[in-house]
Amino acid sequence: MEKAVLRKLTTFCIVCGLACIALLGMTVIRDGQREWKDYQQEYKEMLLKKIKRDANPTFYDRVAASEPEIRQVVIGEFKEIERCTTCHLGIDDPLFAGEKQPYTTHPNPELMKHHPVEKFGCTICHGGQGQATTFYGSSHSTIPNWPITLVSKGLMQSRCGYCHKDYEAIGADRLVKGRELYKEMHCAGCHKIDDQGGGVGPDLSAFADKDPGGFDYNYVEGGHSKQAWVIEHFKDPKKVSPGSPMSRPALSDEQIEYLATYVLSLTRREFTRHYTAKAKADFVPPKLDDVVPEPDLSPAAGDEEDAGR
Amino acid sequence: MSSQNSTGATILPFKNSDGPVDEDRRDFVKKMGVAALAVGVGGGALQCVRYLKPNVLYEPSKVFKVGALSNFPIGSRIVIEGRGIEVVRERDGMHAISLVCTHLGCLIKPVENDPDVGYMCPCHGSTFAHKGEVQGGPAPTDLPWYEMFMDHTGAIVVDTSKVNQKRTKLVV
Repeated sequence: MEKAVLRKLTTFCIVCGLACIALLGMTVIRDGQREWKDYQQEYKEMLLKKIKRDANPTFYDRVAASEPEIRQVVIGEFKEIERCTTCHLGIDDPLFAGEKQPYTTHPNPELMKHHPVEKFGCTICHGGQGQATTFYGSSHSTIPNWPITLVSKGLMQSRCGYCHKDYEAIGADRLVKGRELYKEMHCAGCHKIDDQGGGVGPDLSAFADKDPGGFDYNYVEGGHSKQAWVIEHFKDPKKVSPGSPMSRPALSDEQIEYLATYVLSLTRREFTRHYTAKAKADFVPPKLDDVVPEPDLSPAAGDEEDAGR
Repeated sequence: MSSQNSTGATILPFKNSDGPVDEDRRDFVKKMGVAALAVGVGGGALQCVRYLKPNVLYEPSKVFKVGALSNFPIGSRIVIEGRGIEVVRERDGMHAISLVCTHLGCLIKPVENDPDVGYMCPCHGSTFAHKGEVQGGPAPTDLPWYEMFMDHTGAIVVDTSKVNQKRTKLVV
């Protein structure tokens, strides 16, 4: 081989070797730089500006000396470990009202008073992936093959329905409207919820518990999530599930959102006493199937008379 | 100049005999080599050490809010469920005391209306005074007090990762 070529090759090998080692070192160092550390640093600076040392020196010094750390809420009830508060640091702090994301206070402090983060966490209402510590990983928007995304604004009340079955009592207007639509459209003619309704279509009693991975997303345009599937399915059932006998409901986009909110709230999950919403003693879930069989067509009436004798 | 040895493999000359050696270039390559090695090995070693201390464990946070001050009236002793501590507020301040027996870790029961005995362990009968000092039974040490502070929103926060060695009360 030519001497010049050999020398070039040797140089090339040395440079490549050095580059490999340097890259290894850089990946290791980059691993220590996480976005939540930057957020915590910025939060600390903001907080120290907002509070005065004279008012509470112990707390001020504690904050000043604090190092970035992952903050998490462990909720045995939901089998969840949530690290949302690692970045959403001012979520229950009135001082941070009106600040930019992720530091801002929860927009509904009254709701937070009844559902403290330490007890309920975030994902039971908001969805998303609680264990993640990056913006992307916590599924703020849909991620292919990670179907549990953050619940979109229009569908938020679907999560209220997980625990609260008396929709009027908590003022969940969207759930009430969704349930009204379900009745008006006679969905119960084909679908069954809690043993009410027909058996032509799938049983919807535990629709919210269904594994999002089991849906066919091939015809869904809004991303791999159950929410997108439900909304698009209501817009055009035959497109999203080819071969479905369900006809396209004549509904506006807003009404579709109400109906989707209702359907996505249907769960059979049960919570322990500490997490069960208080309901009025006389609360009875309203009947969904208001189809009354015509009396003269029902053979059962005659049979009952016979049995009575 | 390259030469052939007995096995026929090409051996590169250690020194370039064709002309003057470019010392600057050698120096540069040497420096780059040392720097890359330092970054690679140093970074790796750093990360190996860091790996021994996890960022977070699968356990509830050791620093937690126990509620607003108004939930703890003067003279009250309130057990915080699931956390193994009791928050005591007296006229001269408040403190958080561990309810985990220093003997074998049973959950201690606070004793009501007793001027001497404050706590009693149901497992082996250790008794503790109101401030947590051992009075009797197999418990080897006093019940620890934990650090406690008030945050800027007025909530009382307990930090069970830090023992309050001096047993100072939080004056509010």
